[in-house]
Amino acid sequence: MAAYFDGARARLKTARAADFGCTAADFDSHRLVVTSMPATAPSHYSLEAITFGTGTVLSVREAYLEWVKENAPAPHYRAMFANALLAPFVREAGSRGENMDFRAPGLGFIPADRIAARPVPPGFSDGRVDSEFRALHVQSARFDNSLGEPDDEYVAGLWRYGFALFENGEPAAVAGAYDDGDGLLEIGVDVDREYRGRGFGPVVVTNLAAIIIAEAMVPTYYCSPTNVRSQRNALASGFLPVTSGARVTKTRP
Amino acid sequence: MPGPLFAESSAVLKSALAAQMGCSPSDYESHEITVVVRPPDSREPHLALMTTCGTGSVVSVRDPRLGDWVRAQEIPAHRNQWIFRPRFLEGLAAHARELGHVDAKSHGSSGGTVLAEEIEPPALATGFSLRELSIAEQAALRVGNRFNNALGDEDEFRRIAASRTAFAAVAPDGSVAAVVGISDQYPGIDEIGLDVSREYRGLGLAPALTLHATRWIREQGRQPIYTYGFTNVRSANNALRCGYRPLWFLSAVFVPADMH
Repeated sequence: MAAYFDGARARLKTARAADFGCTAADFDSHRLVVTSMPATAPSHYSLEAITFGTGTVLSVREAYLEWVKENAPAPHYRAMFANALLAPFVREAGSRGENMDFRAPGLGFIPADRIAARPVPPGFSDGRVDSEFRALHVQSARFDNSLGEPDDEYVAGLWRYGFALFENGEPAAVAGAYDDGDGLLEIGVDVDREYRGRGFGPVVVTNLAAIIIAEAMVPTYYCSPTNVRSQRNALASGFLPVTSGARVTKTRP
Repeated sequence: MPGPLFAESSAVLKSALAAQMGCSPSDYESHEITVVVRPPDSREPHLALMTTCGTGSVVSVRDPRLGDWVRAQEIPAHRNQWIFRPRFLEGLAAHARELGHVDAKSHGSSGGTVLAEEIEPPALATGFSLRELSIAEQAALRVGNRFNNALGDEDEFRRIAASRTAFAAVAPDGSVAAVVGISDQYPGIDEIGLDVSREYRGLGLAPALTLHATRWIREQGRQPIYTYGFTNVRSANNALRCGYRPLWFLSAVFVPADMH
């Protein structure tokens, strides 16, 4: 494995350890580690789980810490199974008068090595795009992975910059970079429906990843494991899977 | 990008998967949710199986009343991955229990990969050897469930019956360090299961055994597949290292008594 990959994974572990209130070594423990969720976590988070493959860390709100420790399943990775912990956790929260829901699991990727930008297809123009571009296109919701959902102020606060392919001045594919913790920028990508199947996903992802790497940051990429095409886009863009995660959040009554 | 071998492997798997589920392969390209009743000759024992190859999704049920429940859910248009949401799966399991399917529950979801690139098996680490395990050796190694991905749990009689062969990487001191099992998953398709004892990890035994099994399956004129639980990042990377690429994803609701 490339030295770049090892360094990038170490940075991701350090950032996630800060997010989860654990040590980076806990990710390699081959056991379940349950921690108190740091105060810096978004206020609607109640439980967050992550594994790098060799141990699972659960970060939990203080009020539920003892319940989780008493009800956590074995082996460690079953803590992310819906029927083993997440659904019982939501039921426990309901019995305490709190409405919660859990997200489908997510896969996390980092580059296997330094990523080289793929060439832009003939007939298209390209370039780095900024908040002015985002403001112009976010309301259309055509690029909600790369620009965020319309009127989502939380995500708007995380968005940094992007890379777009244009045909006749109109965006055909966009990759956006979001703050993903210390030294990390997460890539979200959209290819407009009429341009799909032409390999534009890896073009915008690799170009944005190359910009991020040139700025001494680590690009990350996330998708649901059910989104097989997005997984293949990550792989084709030079990324490898490194994490699997799940989350329980508060919902409106 | 995946090439001709991936296209060929994908077509074979999609066709076999569709036959087992009771749908058409084109349902996986539909961008919709297709609900079907499982054919009586399907090998899949699960009460309900949710599968996708990334676009269309298919719900295959053994009890038609579960299909009615799925159709009654207000799933937004073009949200074909809705059926993999934990809340949906838990709701389906709860409804199955209401219908009398005792202890019905959802299962940890799995990703599935098919071969996209043929890679030559590497030599084993110095001092290690590879050999085929006899039926008796497989049974002996099954005790304690140390190699349960490769050989199945002791009480997984259905899985054990489907076993085609197994190979072991043997350490210099004669102990079994890793096992790869090959089982008859669907007609024409063999699944690879793998375990490496913790003390022998990091020696490259996983890709060596996976690639050996891949070649063995191909020599039989069959298609290899490799699946892993969604949390098993290291297994996913082993598949990628061995030339496999993701094709499908599967979630299940099952009755434990049906699985043995």
